[in-house]
Amino acid sequence: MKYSYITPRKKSLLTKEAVLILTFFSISFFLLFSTYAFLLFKEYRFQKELQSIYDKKAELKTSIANMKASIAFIEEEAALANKVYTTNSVLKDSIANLFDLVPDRITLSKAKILKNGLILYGITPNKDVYAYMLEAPLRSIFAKTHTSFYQLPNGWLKFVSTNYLDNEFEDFINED
Amino acid sequence: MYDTTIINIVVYAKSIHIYIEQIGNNKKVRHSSEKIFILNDSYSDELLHDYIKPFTEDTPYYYVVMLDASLEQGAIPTCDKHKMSLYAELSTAKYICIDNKWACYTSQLFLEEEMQLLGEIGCDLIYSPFVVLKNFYADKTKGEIALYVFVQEHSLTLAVFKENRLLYGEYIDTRFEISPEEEMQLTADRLEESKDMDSQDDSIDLDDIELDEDDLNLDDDFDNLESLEPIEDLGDIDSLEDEDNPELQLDESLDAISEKAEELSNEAKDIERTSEDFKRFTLIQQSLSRFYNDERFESDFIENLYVADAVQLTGDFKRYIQDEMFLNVYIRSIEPELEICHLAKEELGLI
Repeated sequence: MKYSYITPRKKSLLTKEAVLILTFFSISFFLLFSTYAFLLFKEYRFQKELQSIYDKKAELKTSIANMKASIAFIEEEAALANKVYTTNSVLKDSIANLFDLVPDRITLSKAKILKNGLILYGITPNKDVYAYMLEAPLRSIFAKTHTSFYQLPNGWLKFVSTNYLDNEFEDFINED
Repeated sequence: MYDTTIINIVVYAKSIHIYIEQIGNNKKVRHSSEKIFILNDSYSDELLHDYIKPFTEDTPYYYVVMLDASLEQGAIPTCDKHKMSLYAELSTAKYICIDNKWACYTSQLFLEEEMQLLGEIGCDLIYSPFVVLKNFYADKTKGEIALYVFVQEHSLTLAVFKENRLLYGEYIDTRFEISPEEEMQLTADRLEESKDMDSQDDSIDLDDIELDEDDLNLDDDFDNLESLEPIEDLGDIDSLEDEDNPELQLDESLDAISEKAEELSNEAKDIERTSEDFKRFTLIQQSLSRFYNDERFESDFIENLYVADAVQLTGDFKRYIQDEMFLNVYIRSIEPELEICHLAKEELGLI
């Protein structure tokens, strides 16, 4: 039963001074831990950024290496292309020269251009025509020339001409 | 872990009584102490604070309990908010309902002033003297109608209880003296009342009762006082020089003087106490008259008066009441500090 005009104040184990001191220390610890947590977070962020930069650096290095390799490959390809183009030009000229060499009376059925030689298959009316009109120019170009003939039923001759350059001549050609 | 300390403070007109109880965890009183501060020139609130402070520093569980001594306090026989205004103006008062049957109230302003007395120490519980009276006579208030009076040094708390229900309550500060005109008026009222009662009840012959002031012992005491020799005449110091052993004679005379002075002082005190008791009797009579005459209160014929005596009333007080008011008087001594301590312990669950 309540008989008092007023209600008793709430009693606490802690005195006002103790509450004040605890509050002060609590705020201080809170600020300290907050600062510590902030610093930890900043350090974590910094480490993460650092790692990211390292990764980016490694990536860029890899990329640079790949690019260098690509450049080297492209340069090689370009050189090769250039060489092929030159070789093709030479070959084109050679073929053009070859077809210029072949007289109208001789018909070529097949031609094999080797690295250091030329094999021609064709039909000639007779051996003389071949000897005067085709063998002579071939002998002037190639060091070794050998021709085989086969008689066809119609009286014409099928021939296979094998021509090789000698090494010195070949080296001379390569130098050019 | 900590003891509970209950600091009980009762403020009187000329003194402050403090009773402190330290209660252990087993709800047993481990230590108690009492102190009375006399409100003279050497008193200051710092002295009171210095005495209480060590008890408050021992434990955080300390409760400061006070007995309300506000001038503007009282008790009303209802707990209904709408009916309260019939009995008292409560707009600036604080009140509490007791048993949902009656309420006691006090001035909010006085309450705050009382709490300010203790400054930083503060106050936890303030009890009305009506509550103290009700609890002190808890065995009687449940019964038939009776008048209950809590007599303190400077105040009277009057209550009429019937079957645990308050019918009338009044708080009187006795420091405000009654003027002679009021006293005369009171005597006239009393005579009138006596006549009324005579006409109502023939069994009591009021004419036999003499209300003449000569009948009161007070005047006898005054007469005794007058019969005493004046202090100046008690010893003629000059005449001692003529004796054979002047030093011995002087000592004896001084002893005689001090004895006489003490005797005189005691008699004066007795007279003062008798005078105060008469004043109390008069105030009780007036109050009872108000109860009977005021139609707002449910009145009934009162036969018994129960007094909670905190001042050691004289035998005259009982005689006045019995002779003049025809009431059966029962007096029990009360120590208000202990009573409010008991109430506080009940409220805090320490009993």
